[in-house]
Amino acid sequence: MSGSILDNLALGFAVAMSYEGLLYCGLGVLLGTMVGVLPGLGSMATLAMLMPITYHIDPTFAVIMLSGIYYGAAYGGSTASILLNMPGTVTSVVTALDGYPMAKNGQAGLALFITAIASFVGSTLGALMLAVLTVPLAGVAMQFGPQEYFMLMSFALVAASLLSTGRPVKSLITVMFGMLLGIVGLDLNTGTARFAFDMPEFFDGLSLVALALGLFGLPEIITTARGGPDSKLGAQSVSLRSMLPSREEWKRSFFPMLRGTGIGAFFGALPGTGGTIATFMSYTLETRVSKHPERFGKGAIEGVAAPEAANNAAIQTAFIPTMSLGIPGDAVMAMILGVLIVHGVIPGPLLITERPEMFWGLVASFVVGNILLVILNIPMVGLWVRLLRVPYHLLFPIMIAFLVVGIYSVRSSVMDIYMLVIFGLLGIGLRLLRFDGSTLLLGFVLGPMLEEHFRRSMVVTMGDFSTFLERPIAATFFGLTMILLVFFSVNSLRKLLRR
Amino acid sequence: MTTKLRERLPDLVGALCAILVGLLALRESYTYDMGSLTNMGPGYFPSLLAIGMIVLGLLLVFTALRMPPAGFVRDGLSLWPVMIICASLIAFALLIERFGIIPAIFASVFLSTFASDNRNIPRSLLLAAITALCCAGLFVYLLGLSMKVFAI
Repeated sequence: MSGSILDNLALGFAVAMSYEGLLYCGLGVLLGTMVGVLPGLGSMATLAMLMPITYHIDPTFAVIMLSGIYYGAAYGGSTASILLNMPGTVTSVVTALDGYPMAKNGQAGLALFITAIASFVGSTLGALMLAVLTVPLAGVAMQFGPQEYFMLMSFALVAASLLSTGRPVKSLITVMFGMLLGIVGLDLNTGTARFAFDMPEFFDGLSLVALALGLFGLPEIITTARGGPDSKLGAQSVSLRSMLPSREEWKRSFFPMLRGTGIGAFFGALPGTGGTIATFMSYTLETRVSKHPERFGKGAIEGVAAPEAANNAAIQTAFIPTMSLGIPGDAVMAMILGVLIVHGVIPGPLLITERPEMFWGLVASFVVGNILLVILNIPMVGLWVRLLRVPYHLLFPIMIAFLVVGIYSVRSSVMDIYMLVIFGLLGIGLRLLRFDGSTLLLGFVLGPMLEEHFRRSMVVTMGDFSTFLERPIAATFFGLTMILLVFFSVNSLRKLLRR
Repeated sequence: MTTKLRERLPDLVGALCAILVGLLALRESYTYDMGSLTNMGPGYFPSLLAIGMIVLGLLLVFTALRMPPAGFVRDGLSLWPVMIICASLIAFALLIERFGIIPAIFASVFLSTFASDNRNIPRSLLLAAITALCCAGLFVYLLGLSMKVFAI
């Protein structure tokens, strides 16, 4: 690693503050806030919709823009959950618990302000940890063998499915199914076409864009087509003066923000867990440490500050395993990693040394993007409130057009559009049956890597499974995976027996 | 009993699908070389996954009968918009290569407007025309993609 962290950051800011860097970062956070505010349209759908465009721009700016959408949506999502009690994203569900009561008490402005500040604090500290921790971690990862990678990835997949919102067994099924879909195509070691059914279109594997759009884009557009969620609810107008917290309110939200950041940073960096768990955990923690737990749920400012900080810190630190090990911790990271792979960038411990401008540019863009977001969300919040009144029936046909041209533009293949239709139907089916699409996508991206590392470890050790226990890091993650599995099996067994 | 069964249908259908997919994948992966544990062939890992899906599917049947029912998620998903949106995508696929991007987008946007309850034909036509022109401008002229723009 050459140069000090300051030199590296200077390089990063040169990228992030360049004309293109600012353009794509600004575009990302703007679009992110927009979809975050609109209930019914999640950040996954938007990321999927913009993925085709990133095929035509430089990978550094592609990643900057996609990340901007991700954390921008976190800011915007809380706006809708505070003003309308309609969380725009899963992670802002917790914010609505105290944010909406605050808005009903006439403190909407204050809630929005604290949300933006907490998000900013969480993001900035999270980005700082990303800057400090990624390089040493990549150094450690240089010594990783296939065993470590296999165990880390298994842990990520198991944790993501057990801790997701649905029933654990169902999420495990979708992970397996995702891995099977990921295997479609030529086998790297032998050149055998697997699950390709003699169709040459399938030899390169299934298209990640088509899968992501089918699982998230189409179902969400179709559900919003019928008018979408009721957006007639009158959101109150918010003046700038009503936003500023008093000294007492600053004091009450200071430590919750820091605690939230800590929890968020931890769960974000751990593959397989992430913002959703972090927000719930930090909210629970605040109710426990508070001297006035009865205030929670009725508009406690701590109940807004902590989860928001946690969520945003988790988003930033989620990039740590993605950038240092090449292991995506959640579906969004899997999509970003997929974009890198398409551009021929190989994710892993060498990424930072080989493409320093990409990593440090990304870190710097987080700082730039978060400053832009504070500007977008504090003085301009009225604009977003008005956006909630945009008629959906005009919006969704435009999204359809954008999506279909986008996917066709990737490799001018009509086949990809038919695949999109098939994956769209799959996505709708999964939704009807309450299966989780995001674990499927994670399995899709991690599956081929998992197989490769499994094969390699078995070759290296002559089929000796004890290798996973002899290497300390692999053994640790094996232990963690087992603890999770045992915990969840015992838990559901107990539920079964009680009935 | 029947209502009880119906409430559990999503989990049971899901389990059935998982088992079915697992069985099909297992049959398919047996046609590839299995290899051995020390030197795995292309069929080894997929067959493990397929067996995993079957086992998990059976587990889901068991838990679905015991756990509190879940019910289908309908939130706004109905057959009509699904069919219309699929038709609009297929229309694009059929038109793009012969007629170019503007007619293809025009057709697909116009079709897709029928997915909502709003039926204002002149407005749909206008929206389709504007979207087609903007998309062509964005993708062909700004992003510089080589696509046929307009040809009859």
